[in-house]
Amino acid sequence: MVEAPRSLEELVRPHIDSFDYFIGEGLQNVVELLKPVEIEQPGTLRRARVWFESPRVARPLKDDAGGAADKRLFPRDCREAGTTYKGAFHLDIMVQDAGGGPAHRLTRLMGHLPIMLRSTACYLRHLTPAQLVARKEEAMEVGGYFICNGLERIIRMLIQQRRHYVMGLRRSAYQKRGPTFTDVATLLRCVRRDESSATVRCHYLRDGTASFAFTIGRAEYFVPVGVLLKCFLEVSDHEIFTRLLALIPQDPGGGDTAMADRVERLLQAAAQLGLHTRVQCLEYLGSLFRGIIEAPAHLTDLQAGEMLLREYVLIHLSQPADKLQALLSMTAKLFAVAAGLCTEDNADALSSHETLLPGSLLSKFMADKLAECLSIFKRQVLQDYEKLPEQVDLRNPIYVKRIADRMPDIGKKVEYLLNTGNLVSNNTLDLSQATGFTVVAEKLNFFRYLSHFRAIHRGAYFAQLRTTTVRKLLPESWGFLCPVHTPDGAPCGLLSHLTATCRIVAAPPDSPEDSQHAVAAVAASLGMVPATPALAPPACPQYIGVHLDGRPIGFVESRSAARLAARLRAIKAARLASEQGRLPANLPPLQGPETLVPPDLEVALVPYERGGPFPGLFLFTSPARMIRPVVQLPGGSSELIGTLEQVNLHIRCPDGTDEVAGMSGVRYSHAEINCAAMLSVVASLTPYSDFNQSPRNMYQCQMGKQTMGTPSQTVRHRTDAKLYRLQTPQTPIARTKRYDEYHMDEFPSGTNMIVAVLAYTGYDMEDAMILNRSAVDRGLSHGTLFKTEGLDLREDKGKTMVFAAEKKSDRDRPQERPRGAFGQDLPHPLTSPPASSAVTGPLKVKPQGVQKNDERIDVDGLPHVGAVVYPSQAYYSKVDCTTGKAKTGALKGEEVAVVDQVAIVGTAEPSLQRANVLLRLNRNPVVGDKFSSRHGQKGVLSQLWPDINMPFVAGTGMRPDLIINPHAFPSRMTIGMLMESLVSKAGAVQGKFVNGSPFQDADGVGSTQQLVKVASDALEEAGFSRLGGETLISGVTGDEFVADIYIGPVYYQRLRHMVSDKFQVRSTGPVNALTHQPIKGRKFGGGIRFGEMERDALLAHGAAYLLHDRLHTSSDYAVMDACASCGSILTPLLHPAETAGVGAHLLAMQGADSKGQVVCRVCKTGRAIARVALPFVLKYLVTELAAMNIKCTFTIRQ
Amino acid sequence: MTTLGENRRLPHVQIRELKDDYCEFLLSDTDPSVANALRRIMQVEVPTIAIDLVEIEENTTVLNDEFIAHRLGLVPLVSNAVSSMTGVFETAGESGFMDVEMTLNVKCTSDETMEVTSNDLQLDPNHPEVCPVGYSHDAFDPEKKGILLVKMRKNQELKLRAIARKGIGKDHAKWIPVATVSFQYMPEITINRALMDTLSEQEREDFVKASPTPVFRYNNITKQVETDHIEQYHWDGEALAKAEELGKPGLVTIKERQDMFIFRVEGTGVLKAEDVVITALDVLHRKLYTLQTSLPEQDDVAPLPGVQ
Repeated sequence: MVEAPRSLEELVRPHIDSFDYFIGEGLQNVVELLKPVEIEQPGTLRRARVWFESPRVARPLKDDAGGAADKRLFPRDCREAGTTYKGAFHLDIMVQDAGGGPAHRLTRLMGHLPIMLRSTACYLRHLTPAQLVARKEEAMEVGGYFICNGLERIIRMLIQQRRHYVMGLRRSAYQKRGPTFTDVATLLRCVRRDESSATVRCHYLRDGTASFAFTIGRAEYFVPVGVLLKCFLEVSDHEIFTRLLALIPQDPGGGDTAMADRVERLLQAAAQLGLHTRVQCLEYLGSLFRGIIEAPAHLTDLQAGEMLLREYVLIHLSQPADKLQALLSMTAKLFAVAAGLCTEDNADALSSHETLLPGSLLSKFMADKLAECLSIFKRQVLQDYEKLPEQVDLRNPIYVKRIADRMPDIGKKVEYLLNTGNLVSNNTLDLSQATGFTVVAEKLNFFRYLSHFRAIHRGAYFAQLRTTTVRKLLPESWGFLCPVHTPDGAPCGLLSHLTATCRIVAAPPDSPEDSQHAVAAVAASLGMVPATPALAPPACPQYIGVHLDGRPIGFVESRSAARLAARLRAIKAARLASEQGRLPANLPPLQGPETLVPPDLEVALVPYERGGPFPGLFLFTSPARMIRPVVQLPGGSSELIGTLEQVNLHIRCPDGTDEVAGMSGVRYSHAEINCAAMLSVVASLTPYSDFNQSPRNMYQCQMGKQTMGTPSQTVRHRTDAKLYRLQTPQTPIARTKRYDEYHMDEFPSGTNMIVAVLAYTGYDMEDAMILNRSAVDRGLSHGTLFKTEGLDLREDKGKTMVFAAEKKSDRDRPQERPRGAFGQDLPHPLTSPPASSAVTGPLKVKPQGVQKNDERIDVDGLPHVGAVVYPSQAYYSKVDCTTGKAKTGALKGEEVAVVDQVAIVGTAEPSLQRANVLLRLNRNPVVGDKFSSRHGQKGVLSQLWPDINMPFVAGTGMRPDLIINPHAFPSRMTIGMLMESLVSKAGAVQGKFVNGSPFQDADGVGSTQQLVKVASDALEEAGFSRLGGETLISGVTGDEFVADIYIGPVYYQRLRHMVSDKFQVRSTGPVNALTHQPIKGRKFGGGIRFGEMERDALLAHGAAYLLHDRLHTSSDYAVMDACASCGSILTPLLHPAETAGVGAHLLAMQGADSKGQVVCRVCKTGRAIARVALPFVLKYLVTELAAMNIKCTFTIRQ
Repeated sequence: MTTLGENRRLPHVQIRELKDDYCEFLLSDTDPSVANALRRIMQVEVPTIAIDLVEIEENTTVLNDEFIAHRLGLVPLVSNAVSSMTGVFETAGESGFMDVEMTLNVKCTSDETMEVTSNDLQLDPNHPEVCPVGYSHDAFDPEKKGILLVKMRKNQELKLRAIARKGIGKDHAKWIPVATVSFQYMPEITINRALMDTLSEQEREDFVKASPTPVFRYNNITKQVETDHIEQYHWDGEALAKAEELGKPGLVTIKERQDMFIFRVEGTGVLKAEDVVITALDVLHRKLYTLQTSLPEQDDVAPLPGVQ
């Protein structure tokens, strides 16, 4: 058993760490920050305060375990039973008199929360591979997903705006906010400890002032910045004036009076409203907003204003002084951007992004839902005060419990979120989308499974955007997002994948405040001037601001900022080293607050540059940031850098020069660890991808994820609807380093095929390929499709069913022979009766004759393991307990299945109700199946040539397994595939695996020339040609080919697209009852539509007969009677002979036969009746028209 | 040397190496069509015995029934008895037998992983000569471990009956009697002596070294370039390129001879390589005979001479 390597666990770490934080500290934060509700007793001034405390999430337990000793619910149980892996979630409801007095505590079960696998609340957390296997799990199980109704679902990572970083933007949409609004605004996303967030904006107005925008519920509100600035502290206008001006980066001595004018006008806004002091401003805001923010009646306007600032304005900061500072920097940046003193930020660049992690989403959601619970509680109590005031007693636990029972089941809501990906909430939660948060982590193969955890989506909103700017690959994402691994088509550029080395800070430091204090203290000790409310800041750009998690903490001299940043980096690197348990000598020893600096601290220094980005030293300790390791250049110690940080660093690429390109004299401060750092896991598994044209590598990333391989080592215990498996997989000869690093051999997904590049028979044109049938006979690319059929007797509503075999009398009834796709008999009858006794004798294989169900179904009504089931044959039977009648379930589809496993679900008490039948379908290669190499070279199998028809190598007699056409190469330029062929051939003759990692030149592992030389030498030594070509002789004629043929082993993948799932043919079959035209749909045996455009094509060719055949003869051809005298096709009716009645003698004269006579009801005669062939749908049309009083007459001539 | 004419109908075989599982011979005085026909027949029309039907009674191993059946089919069986067998598609009533029934009944009882190999197959008591290649009960000789079928852990069991039958490689690759069978054209290298004489000794040596395979030899005594291991020539064209480089195109001419073929037959142990060749010739003869008898009789066509 192979343990999951650390690197593999590292890939799902963001998910698990984030969830771990959520169920621990995260929930605690949510509950702590939740605003208590106050319930006022009408008439009195007595108020009660209600809040939550101590949330706890328990490990999953079985609810139907009964008296069983082990009540633990394991993931495997959930997968098999199709239930959710969830643990109990408890909260304490606290009720206290607002005036004081003891708080009453009531513990309540709020529902069951789905538990992420391998999180702290999961039983699999610390299990060894052997223990995991004993629990019927993968030995290399890494977790990171939820099990919802038996499906493995994960919360998709989303890209969102970076928190606590002021962004200056120009967007034309901002002009629509009001008549005086311009397109300039600064924007700040504020996030609290509980991950609830609010985005606020400062808009630049045409008159030179600014307006502050914030969101309450789903509505947006605007306040003049001049008013808001005065609300935080008792400061004079002059003070604000000087502070704001000092923050705006202007050239020294420039003395821009225009800027001063603007700031003055900004401050006049308050004065114009007659607001001069802080109290006045607050009361003004309080009176305006108290209704909107639902401030309690007992609060004064001043208190309501304070409440507004506390809960809606810059919510990430608690101190008014900090809020003022933050608002000042927002305004300063706004004016700077508006005046063109600095550039706006790029909202599409990764430097201004962070991730939405599963834990954050759940935190936000939980905060919202718990607040809802409290408000429901309050509403209920108030209702009771109105109706039954005498019953209300919030000190009585029984009453509180009764009210609390009205709270919704939080677990159900979270489950709904996970099951559907839909977020149901009254407000947006500061998210850009409400759906698509979760996806199923399909285990099609290991590549696809892994990519689900590394995928990161830009957001559903951007998918609808017409412009392609958001999809562009920007240099900021270097090293964090893989440039290769993104799908082509609709989600291109929006669905990216993290590089293998990229990590995500999933949780804040252990004690965020302490870390922040430590960072601030360290910065201060290194020359930062701390910001104090009393002191006016030194002027920018001599000094630049230092911001820690969106809080301006001080200023640093521009000249020494770089030194400060460098020192912080050194500390950071030392912390990382000590955390990893090593202390390189070249790093300084840490003392005092330095030991509390988080190793993932982001030190983004944006130096002042005229017209450049807004300067500042931005420090981040917050979670959700993407980070990655790089090497510090003098010293070589490892450092974690963030996306914003990276933009202003000089990082040397492995093939780079000594000095920064284009900046003479500037040395690199960092270096990449290796070239693979820029690639995602899947992209780094393509060998020699640096030799390929880039889109080919993208195609391979897609196809690698569609490959039939080894999805799981626990196929028997899985209940996936479909599972593809390659029967005889191999390990590739040419493999990258990462292949071994991630133990991909545990889940191999292809075969080393001997590939000849050769135009042989024409059956390899246009990406078709020829496979050696004899090789397929020997097991090449043999595959199996596993299907799980869940049998659930509870689905028969109103009946009591049990699994049981049919009664004897029923079973004696001979069954109809099963029919195949074209109505042929199954199993195929032998062409000649077998002479051997082995077939007819003791083996009891009856190729002809009746099939009885009991050959497949056991007495318990379930199939035998190993039973062969033909299409539409019964494979299980159930009996109605009341009527005693048996009902059998037939196999759907057109393929023969073998019963692989029968798993009983749940207990058999009182009677067995559920079972999972795992069916095995043979999917060996057939013409039309899809294959691909690892270089984006896909092809369709066009012929299975027997060995003798394949060309063979003159010297060795080797026949290729596969022939592809040389035309596949020139335009696609997949030289990597040719390299793989040559190098694998050398590896094969030497019995060695070959390193196929890309960029070996740059990484210094070996040069291309060397690589080829080593391979050529090995080939030569083994008696092959240096260049990989060999003399081939045609297997059909025996003639030698004029040219040498390039031949060697290439790792080929079999893709899951197979003809057996796709072919659609029909001769006759079901028709639509109304129109008598063939129905559509492969599933129902329908045809493929011959539509208007196809009709046009035939018309253009003048193929009238063919057209008639398609549209009439093979469609709704109908022979009907028409009356030539009245021209109707509806009136002719058949009069049976015996009931002819009145005109019987007349009809007899007209030659009516024994069946009767067709008579027109209108003309009352059968004389003019003609039989005509018409499309049936015409009759339908005429009938419909008749219903609308429109008569259709037809002129009928002989 | 004549390549056409009367000799065409009288091919010669010169055996160069003959072992149980390997045979190398020179077929000369015929043309590629005959050589290729012989190759094709050796590969897919020489009948052998392989397991064809498997009835599984108990299978609790990790491999599924079809997979095990497929693996059993690929086990090479010693097929010397094939001549006395009747195939499924052959006329009934021939004296031969049709089925060889083998059984496999193993259960793992130890804690260690058990390897089920072809040695665990129990042979048909009526036909003990039909057995897997390398069949042995010497448990201690690692050389005679047998062919691995499946691995088992404790309490897993495999019980089945397998019926081996006669068949040919055309129907399924498991009946192919050889690992490889191939032929190679004999190269014909002529050195233009007159041109060669114009080269210096150093140039001659360089010319010899240019060829990656030892096709040429520099005779130190006569100071002449001679042909050496001609059949190792790779059709690489290096010697021709060197001649061009030396400014002497036409220094050597290399052709493939259309009437001489080196055959290499590599057996799998199912049949002796020698037997494969002889049976193949037999099959070829029968085919030609059938063709001849079914053609309308024409007086001017001489009867085919027997193919040896």
